Amino acid sequence: MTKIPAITSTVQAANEVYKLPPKLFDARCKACWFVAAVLLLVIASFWSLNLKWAQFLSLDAFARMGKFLGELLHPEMNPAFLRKLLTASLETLAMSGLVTRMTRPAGARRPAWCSTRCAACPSWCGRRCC
Amino acid sequence: MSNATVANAPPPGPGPSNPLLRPAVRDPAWAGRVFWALAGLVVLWPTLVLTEFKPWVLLEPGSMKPALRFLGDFFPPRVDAQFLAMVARETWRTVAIATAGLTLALVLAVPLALLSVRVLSLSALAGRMAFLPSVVRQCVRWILMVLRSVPELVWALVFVRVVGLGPTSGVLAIALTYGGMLGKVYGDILESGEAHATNSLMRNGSGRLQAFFYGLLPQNAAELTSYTVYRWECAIRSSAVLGFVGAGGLGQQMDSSMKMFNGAEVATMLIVFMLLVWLADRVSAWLRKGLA
Repeated sequence: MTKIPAITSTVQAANEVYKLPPKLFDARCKACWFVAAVLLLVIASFWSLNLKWAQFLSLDAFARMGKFLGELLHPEMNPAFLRKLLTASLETLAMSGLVTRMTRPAGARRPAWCSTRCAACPSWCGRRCC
Repeated sequence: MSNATVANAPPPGPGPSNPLLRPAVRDPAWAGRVFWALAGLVVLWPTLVLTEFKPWVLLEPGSMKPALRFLGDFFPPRVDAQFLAMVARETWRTVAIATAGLTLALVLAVPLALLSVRVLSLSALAGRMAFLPSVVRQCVRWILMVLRSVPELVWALVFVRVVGLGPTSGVLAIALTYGGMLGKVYGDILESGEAHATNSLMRNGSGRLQAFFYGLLPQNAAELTSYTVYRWECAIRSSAVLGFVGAGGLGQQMDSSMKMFNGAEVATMLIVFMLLVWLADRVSAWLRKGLA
């Protein structure tokens, strides 16, 4: 009984234009321009720095690196040296502890500007506020 | 003490003798607080001795004079065209070292972070993670730890011995140290987020990379981006420090200006640094707003 609709321009498309994903590049898309700028910055950096890859990947460099790494495999275990190292590490620990104590007095809680939510946490708080 | 307690206590109710109606107005944790404050003071003394912390040396007559003269030189900063052109060139070198180093660090950090994230484990979906994957993840974490526990200055000194003076050693040093830092923090960020969407995707048969791209990454994109931009800012600063050991860039110029006690030149370079940090901060804020 129903009439078969004629195939004309009134037939609906399976995917309307607004349902299609956006074009990959659009002149008004700020993110596209930003990504392009970052890529340009990276390429320009590598191009302008004149990195000496050939020298770094040469046999001579590998030999020197290997020699150095070989030295690393035999750590100095002399007791006198270890005692000196202990003093030095205690000094390092004391310095970091003192600075932390000076910038954050005893008993102080986490600063108010470091909220507990990561998303609202300024990057310079470090990860400690999360 | 007791007078204050009485003064601060609420007005006596119908039963003044009932202790439940008159709670003690004092800090219930005061014993612990006093103990830890005293313990802190006791630890403070050897700390002060070990660090030879003597701020009064600063106040002795004559000790501040050279420093003050150097600081007085800061104004006015040197701004003639020839010097500015040199500063611009070296600034670009510094930014390029930081950018190249951070790019290589990302090449290192992203795969390692993906390998170490425990949320992306299929076997952990049903109870405990299997033995081999957990060992692999722990090993990757150790690799990241080794990479970042050697300071970039030490890496730079090693590479200066291998490839000689120049930006190559700076780039490699930043790449290795920052690769370790970025990999660790990326892993932590991805693990600390809400894992529900990712788990649901994987439970319903998606691959781990798919779960990462459709669940984990969109959820944490803002924070990952802002941390990366912050690390770029740190890389700019540390490429300045690496310049002091001969890795090129603004730091090398600053080193020579410092050695000649030329405060005006140092001031100009410090202003450039502030501008760079400000720029990184703006970019980060804009990206966070876009991605949040």
